[in-house]
Amino acid sequence: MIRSVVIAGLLGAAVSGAALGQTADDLKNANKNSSSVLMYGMSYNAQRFSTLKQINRDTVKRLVPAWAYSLADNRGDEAQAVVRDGVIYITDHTKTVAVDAITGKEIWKNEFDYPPETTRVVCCGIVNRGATLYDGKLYRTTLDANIVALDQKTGKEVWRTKVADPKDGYSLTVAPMIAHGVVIFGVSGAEFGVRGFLDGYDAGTGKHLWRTYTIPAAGEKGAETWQNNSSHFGGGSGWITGSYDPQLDLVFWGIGNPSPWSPSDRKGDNLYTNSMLAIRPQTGEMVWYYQMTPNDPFDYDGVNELVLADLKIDGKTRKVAMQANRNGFLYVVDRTNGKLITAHKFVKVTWASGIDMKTGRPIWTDDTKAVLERGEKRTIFPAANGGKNWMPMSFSPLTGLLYINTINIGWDYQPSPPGALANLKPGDPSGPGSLKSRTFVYEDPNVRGALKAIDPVTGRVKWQIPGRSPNISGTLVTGGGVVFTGKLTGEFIAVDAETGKQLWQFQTPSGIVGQPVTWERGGKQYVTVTSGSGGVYVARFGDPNIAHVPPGGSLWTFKLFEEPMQTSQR
Amino acid sequence: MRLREVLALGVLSLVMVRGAAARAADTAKAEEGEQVYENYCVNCHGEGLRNTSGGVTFDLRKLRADEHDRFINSVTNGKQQMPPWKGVLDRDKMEAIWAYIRATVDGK
Repeated sequence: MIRSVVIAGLLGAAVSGAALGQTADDLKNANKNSSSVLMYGMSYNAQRFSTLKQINRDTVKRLVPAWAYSLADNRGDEAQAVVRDGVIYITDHTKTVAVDAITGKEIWKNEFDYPPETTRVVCCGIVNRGATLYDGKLYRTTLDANIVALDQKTGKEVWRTKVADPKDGYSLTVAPMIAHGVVIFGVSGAEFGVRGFLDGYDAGTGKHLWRTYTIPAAGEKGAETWQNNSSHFGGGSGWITGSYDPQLDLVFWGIGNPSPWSPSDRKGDNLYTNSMLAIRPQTGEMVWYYQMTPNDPFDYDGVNELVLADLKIDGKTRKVAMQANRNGFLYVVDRTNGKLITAHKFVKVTWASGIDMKTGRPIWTDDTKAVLERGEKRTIFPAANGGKNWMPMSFSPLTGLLYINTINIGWDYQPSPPGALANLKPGDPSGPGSLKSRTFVYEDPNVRGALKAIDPVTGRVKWQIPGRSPNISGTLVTGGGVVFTGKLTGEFIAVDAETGKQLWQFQTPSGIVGQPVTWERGGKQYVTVTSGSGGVYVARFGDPNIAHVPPGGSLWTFKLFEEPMQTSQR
Repeated sequence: MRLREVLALGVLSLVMVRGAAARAADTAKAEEGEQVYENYCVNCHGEGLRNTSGGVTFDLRKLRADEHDRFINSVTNGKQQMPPWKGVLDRDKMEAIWAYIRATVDGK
């Protein structure tokens, strides 16, 4: 008996050890393990595709809430949940929480605070976009620019490393990535004149390993693409999590807009803003780059997620990275070398007539030339918010389609005259206020966005669902042929991935700006998403359609309705 | 025209000139305030003061004309989730934002 107890104890220890010790292989195979969601994007390829199909186009009408958990937060709940061994982990700007995935009961909560001055340099939502799990720890960033590791079991802080100083314009909202045991992420702050960078830290100790600046210093390669050394506060943030190809051993990361937004005093291509970078996870070494919007005057950024897939193009299987860029073009790039394969407009675009397939550079319209060459005022589509903002798209290898929440807003734009921003210092606001004119315009105020299913190679829109407001929520697509996403007015919806027909919806208590994920446990499939209005679109755009959406964060998990169990008569 | 009338006319035209000058100054102040608002306030309080935060941030259109001191105090020291702006925005910039709010609210 004693012996069997000891053996059972040892077995238990072995099991829990294995359960906690997610390895590098677990991360590589994340897309094959449907019981866990270990990282932002759901797997290294950032496809947000799950093979699960218990909830499918036929059964989804039986989807009901399993539970809801209050996040006691009134800012935007944009975080993606991660899931491991029956525990869901979720973040917001002041806490990390572990919740029992089946019952919705809180297991632990780690709350923290940041100096009130921090939010002075947060341009676009008091938010956090999620955590990643590795080796028994949970990794997240903080608004005041720290990277933190917590113990997955207890929520206790294991290490905390200061990344940068908010006084210099830096903040962090990004969910980190882990590759080769290195915690990798980019910074926010290109609206406050930061010099952007990607950083790598040892996952075990928090020790800083490398820093790759996205803006060259004077004398470095690329500095010649900045007028008069204007690069020293040139922006180039990296606030959306990248993706990773373990075979190529390359991490792909989108780099953001130049600072200031107004281009009059920073002529040149402004490398490496508005570019996608391929870097080595262990050293941060840049292997290739591709710049989508040289000398960006419109805050088109370039940070959008890079979704990886192997696509058949002209009879050949190509390793590609796909990006629905804020500038309105959907790029498909060879991820082995950064060469452009296709670039199609996915929303109304008036700043460029197309992309030169030889050079990869945009073909400016007369409007953009008038803006850049003569400083004139023009109506430009898309506006700074882009054809798509941060909300991640998904890709189904079954349909070959991308599912993208798009935005349909333009602006009356004029840069500041040369010299007007001469006194700007790092840390000063350098975003929309740096422009002479920046009034948003609406082609149709009743269609401010649409959920679109798009073939990435041809650019063909297979179906779309227009919305009075854009959806500022991630999409998720499953083997059951269902696309999940959320609306700013709070509806969590399920749509047929083939036809675009809405199959189901549930009204959550606030607006949805979250990122749905799906997972399974005990033979049952679940879908999890946050509700909790906020973020830059909600706060800034004055959209009348959301005037009556209350704030308030909550975490929701759904499953298929089951007949209640027979209970004994009393 | 009697002297009193001449004087009255003179005073009246002086008042009118002063009024026009004051209005021009108010407009300039409000325009300056709009720029400051765009740099420091708009991302939480909304484009053109149109607040759709659902009450998370204060709807500045609710500020009455007699709440100037309360406004300056809140901006200076921060309130609820708003950071203190002391040391970043000087009094002149805060007054410019106030002028912008008044012009937007009272002008409608």
